[in-house]
Amino acid sequence: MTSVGRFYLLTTSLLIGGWIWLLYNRYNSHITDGHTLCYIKNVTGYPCPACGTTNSVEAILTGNYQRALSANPLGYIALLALVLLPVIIGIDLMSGKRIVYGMYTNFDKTMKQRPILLFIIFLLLLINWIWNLYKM
Amino acid sequence: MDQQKVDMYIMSNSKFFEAHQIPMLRDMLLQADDSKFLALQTANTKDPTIMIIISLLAGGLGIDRFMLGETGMGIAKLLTCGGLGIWTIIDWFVIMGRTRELNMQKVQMALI
Repeated sequence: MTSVGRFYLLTTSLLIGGWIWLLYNRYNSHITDGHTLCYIKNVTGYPCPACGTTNSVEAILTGNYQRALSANPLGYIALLALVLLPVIIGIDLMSGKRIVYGMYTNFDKTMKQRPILLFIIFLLLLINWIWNLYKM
Repeated sequence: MDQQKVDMYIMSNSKFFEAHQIPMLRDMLLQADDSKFLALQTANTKDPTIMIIISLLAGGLGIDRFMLGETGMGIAKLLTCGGLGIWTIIDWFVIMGRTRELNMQKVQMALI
């Protein structure tokens, strides 16, 4: 398989996995309370920068925007990706274009040309992580 | 490049590349100019063994992908808790092959 094909396979399977996890959590929240997929949290007991995203997405879906923000602001980005990416992948599949792959390579190139942007992203994530550790 | 130099390079670096790519790599090196040897030595190839260790220890944060120079993938992995933990596990099996693939690309770039 070409690297483009593998990229689409990876993206699609991640999106499907994300939706399944979300739906599973939504209808079995009483079972999965306290359980997590994050292996960093399972191994070390400390949350990773993205821990709390599931709670956050669920809070957004039920309209609790304040709770979503306090669970993990990354939930907004995750939900955006979960909703938008399947649509764009669908367009790619139908028209034979490579919009998602183009977006990814563009992003990669920008990050290499402007390390300051990468630094800002890392700084924001670090702040989010410290906040995450503080919340636990 | 002369044959002795090429064989020495391949002997000491064979684990950095896919086995099926070695004959092609050897031909490429034999055809390359001698002045490319320095560029080849400084091609910044990564050791697959080190990458798998990094992937096992810090794969959930995407550090392995960042080290390979795939910043976009690294950020995606970091933002999703290692792809809900699933991508992390997939990468334990994929990362060595991917490292070798990218090593080959880097060497090809160095030889141009």
